[in-house]
Amino acid sequence: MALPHPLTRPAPHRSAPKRQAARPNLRLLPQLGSIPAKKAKPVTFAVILTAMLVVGSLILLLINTMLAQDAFVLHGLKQQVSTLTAQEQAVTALTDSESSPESVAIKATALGMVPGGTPVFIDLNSGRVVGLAEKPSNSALAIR
Amino acid sequence: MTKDLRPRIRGLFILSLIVMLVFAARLVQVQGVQSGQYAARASRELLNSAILPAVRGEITDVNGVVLARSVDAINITADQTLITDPTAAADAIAPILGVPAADIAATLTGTRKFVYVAKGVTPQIWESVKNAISAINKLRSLEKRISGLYAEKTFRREYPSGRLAASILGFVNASGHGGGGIEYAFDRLLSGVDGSYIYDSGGGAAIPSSSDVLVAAKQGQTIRLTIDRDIEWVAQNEIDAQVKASGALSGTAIVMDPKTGAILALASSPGYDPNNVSKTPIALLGIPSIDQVYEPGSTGKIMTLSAALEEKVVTPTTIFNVPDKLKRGDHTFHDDINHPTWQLTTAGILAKSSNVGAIQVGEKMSHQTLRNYLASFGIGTKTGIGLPGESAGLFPTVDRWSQSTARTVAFGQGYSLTSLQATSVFATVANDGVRVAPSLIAGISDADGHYTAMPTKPGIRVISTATASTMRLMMEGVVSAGGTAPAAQIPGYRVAGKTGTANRVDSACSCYRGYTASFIGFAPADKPALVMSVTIQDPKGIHFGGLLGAPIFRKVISFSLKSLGIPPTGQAPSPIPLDAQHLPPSVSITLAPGVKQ
Repeated sequence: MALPHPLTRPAPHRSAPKRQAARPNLRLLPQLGSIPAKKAKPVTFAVILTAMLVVGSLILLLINTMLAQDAFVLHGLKQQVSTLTAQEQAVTALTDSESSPESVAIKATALGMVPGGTPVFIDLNSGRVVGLAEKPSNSALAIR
Repeated sequence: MTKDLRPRIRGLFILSLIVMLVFAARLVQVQGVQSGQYAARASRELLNSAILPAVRGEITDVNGVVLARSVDAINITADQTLITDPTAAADAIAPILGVPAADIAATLTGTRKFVYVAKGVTPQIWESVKNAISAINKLRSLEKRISGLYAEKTFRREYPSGRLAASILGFVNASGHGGGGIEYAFDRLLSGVDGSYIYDSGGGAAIPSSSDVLVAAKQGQTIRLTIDRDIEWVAQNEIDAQVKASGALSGTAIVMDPKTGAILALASSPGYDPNNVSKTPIALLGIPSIDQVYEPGSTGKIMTLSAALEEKVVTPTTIFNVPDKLKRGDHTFHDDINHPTWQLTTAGILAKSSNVGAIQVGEKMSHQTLRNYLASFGIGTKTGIGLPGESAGLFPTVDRWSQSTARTVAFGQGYSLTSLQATSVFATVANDGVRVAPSLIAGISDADGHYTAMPTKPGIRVISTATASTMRLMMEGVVSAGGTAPAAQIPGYRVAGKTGTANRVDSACSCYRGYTASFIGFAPADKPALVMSVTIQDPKGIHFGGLLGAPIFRKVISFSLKSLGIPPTGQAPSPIPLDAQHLPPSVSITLAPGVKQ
């Protein structure tokens, strides 16, 4: 049975002779006012600012354009919906008038059709024929 | 030096603090105290609200065929101050709108910022108008271009079946509300509720994508009628043809299910086209079947005989000596035709439609008893069908009856009713003596398509089942070869009915002038499924109900039986003898007083 690992790590090596060796020699800085401060060139600064402004504006413009584009697409689609609705309504009106009893009757008459006679019913349970065919001249209507 | 700066800095600090405080106070004032006021001012300048019109509900027949619907339409409006060249604009759009160019030019000329150029045109027409204007503008310099025409979205009511069922449907007036018929009676249900939306505007124009619906419009409900479009058309077609052929003033045809009271067809002639109401004379815009009253004549004998049978003062085979004239007080009553004295049974009186016979039957009851029966058949009371302008008819109380009124009431004169009331009388006999209120509405569906059927109203018993069944048998005699309406026979089916040829009251002279010819019947007679009335007002020439009304009944009812798949019962009728000679020995004969065998 192995013993558990000790919880404490071995103590680090404390001596740091390298650090002591790399330490630079301290010296006095020249007086602050006596040397000229290194200034950033104003042109560079202006360019950076302008670039940021331009890029920002462009992004803003892009976003706005995209939003407006969506509005235009939406408008277009809405227009399309209303056009299609109008077309659908026109077509429905046409089918309504074509399928109206009056127009069907006129077309049927033009084809030489006449109103049917009285109907005859067959009672499926008894096999009895109920009713009287008015005009049995047509073979399709003849009673067997 | 440092000592000198400190008060200044403090001074500046205090000053800026004061400024900041003023700003803060102003901020609180603007944002907190007066925020509502400013927001309102801002929205007044920027936000506009507009009404989102609700689509009016449809009216359909019993099978869902659309009889009235609302479609998209455009009201063309104009800003007169922006129309640079009214004449050119008018010339371009007048042919599209089908209106004289001069009228349009007059509409476009002036200083008004808003005028209507055309109302309720189709979107296609608006498209053509826009194209015509831009075609002109292409040829013009910028400052001479025509602008100032706008579209206002609206709805137009369309009746795809035209004149069909026009009197029931009614029409919609310029304000978009019902002006007659179902459109008027159910306007609240059909209208729905308008919604509203807001939009931002800049420089007078709406900013794209800024609109926002505040309240969605609630579509009107759809009303399903009990009308069957095909039966309605056949009835309309036949009544139109007969009114024309007989030179009549008007005519109505009603088909009804006696068990439920459902009206399958209600046609009147001359009708009108609800798509073109503005050009229709007002006199034609009513519903003749319920707002015009007439004296029924012989069809009213049904009630006299039912009452007498129910009161057991006669049987179907009671024999009456029926001369062609009968003097009562200072008035002599006539039958329609001159004839020798007949020995008719009660059934025979009905089949031959003898006025003298009906008076004799009526005299077996007190005036009050007779009136009570007529009243419970619905005479003098509105049917309650729910259409505007319904008349209750004219039915004086007994204390206002003269000696002759009691006699005339027995054969159907001296009181008046609507053709719907007359149909209901026959439906009561057909429905085993129970009167069911006629109805036109099958049900209502809301915008989501949820359908609610109309509850059926309970019926009122008027006569017993036995009396009703005897009456039906007697009414079959009317349609027999010996009756007044053999033209109503439908081969294979048993048909019962009654003709009416009444003197017509002419309101112009308040006198009797002309006739009302009618036929009311039902089929199959032994198991009635359909009742139909045909009424022709003031025909010229032939005026007998058996000749004018019965053929219409035969055509419409045979079509309806076929179309609804109603088979004949196949039972043979057992006719009741019409006169003394035809009474078989087995029938026990009851003699009316004063009749010698």
